[in-house]
Amino acid sequence: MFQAIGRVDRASLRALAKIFTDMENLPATLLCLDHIFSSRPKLQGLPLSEIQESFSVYLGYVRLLTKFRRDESLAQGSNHQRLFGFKALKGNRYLVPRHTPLHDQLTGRYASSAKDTDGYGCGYDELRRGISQLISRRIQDRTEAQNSACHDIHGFSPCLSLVVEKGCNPPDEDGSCTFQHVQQEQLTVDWYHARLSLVLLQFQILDSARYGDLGVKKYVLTRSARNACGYSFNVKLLARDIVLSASSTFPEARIARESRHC
Amino acid sequence: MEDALEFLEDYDMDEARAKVLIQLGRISDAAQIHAKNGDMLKAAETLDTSTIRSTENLRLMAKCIITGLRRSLTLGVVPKSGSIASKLLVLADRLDKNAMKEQEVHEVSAPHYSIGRRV
Repeated sequence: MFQAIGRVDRASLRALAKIFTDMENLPATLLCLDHIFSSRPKLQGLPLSEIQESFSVYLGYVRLLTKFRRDESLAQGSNHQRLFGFKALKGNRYLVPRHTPLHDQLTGRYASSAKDTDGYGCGYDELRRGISQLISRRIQDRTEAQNSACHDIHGFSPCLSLVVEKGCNPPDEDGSCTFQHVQQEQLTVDWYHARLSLVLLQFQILDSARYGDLGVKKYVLTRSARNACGYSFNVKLLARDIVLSASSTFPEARIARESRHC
Repeated sequence: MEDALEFLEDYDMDEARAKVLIQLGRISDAAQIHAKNGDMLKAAETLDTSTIRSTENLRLMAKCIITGLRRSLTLGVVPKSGSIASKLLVLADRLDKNAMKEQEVHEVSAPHYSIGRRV
């Protein structure tokens, strides 16, 4: 893992994350996932199945971060201690090593002084608060990057002009269409299911991350996102919303309509 | 020489004691002193200089490198050129995987999976 981190070898880190998950080594799993998503995911041009896999891994990452945020143990050998590398001293005191994000979080960036050559000393409550804030900010920043990557993939919204009018006149100045170009014959049940599960998976991510930025949610499904914002997200309602708003081109919507007429 | 070692130990002169131990060929003991003081890089470097590649020495070297990497590569830390972590990673290339437990191998190494796959 450490060599993979040094080489920024994300493929190896992804495989190692699975191994560590099976071994129930949570700090190592989180370290792998954290380096995998250290930059905005590159989703452009990937098939829906690979995008779906990437989303699933990201959802696991957010859930694991949340689990660490809730964990209260800071003892020597605890998951937190192994993840952040602080030392548990006597009398509920802790020493946080310099040049780490946790040190920066607790002291303010560039606040390291000659006084704390060994690290920053603090008590239980201060360390818990620092860890909680660091993880919360990480979830927020990383989810913003992951969600904005959805804008690149065009996987959520097919170009309706192409489907209905057999032609596309992109409104963009550079002449490129911002929607996915799918031919009518490719709009199969499988394609529709893949798209639907991708949308729901992304909503699960946003819900797990408690992410409520409307401007970013629009990449997934503007109408549903607008409805979902501000209160607890309900997957069933959104699924119904997506199905009802689907074009008659989608096989399931057509079958549902025909069965109603019978 | 034993008297000298005892004297150095009594006065907590660990650096000097480690040097004497190396001169006496007791590399493992010298490395243990550095490890006890928390300097895992020095401990691993000391073991790496040894011509005796015994299983015991190799296991101790692996333990020092892994402990050092766990302490230096915590959440959000990337190994920078010239840092302790990057020096430990160079030494990690020389580790004998047969002298390590499965969990340790996974923690240190970067198995080559499908290169070029995107996330």
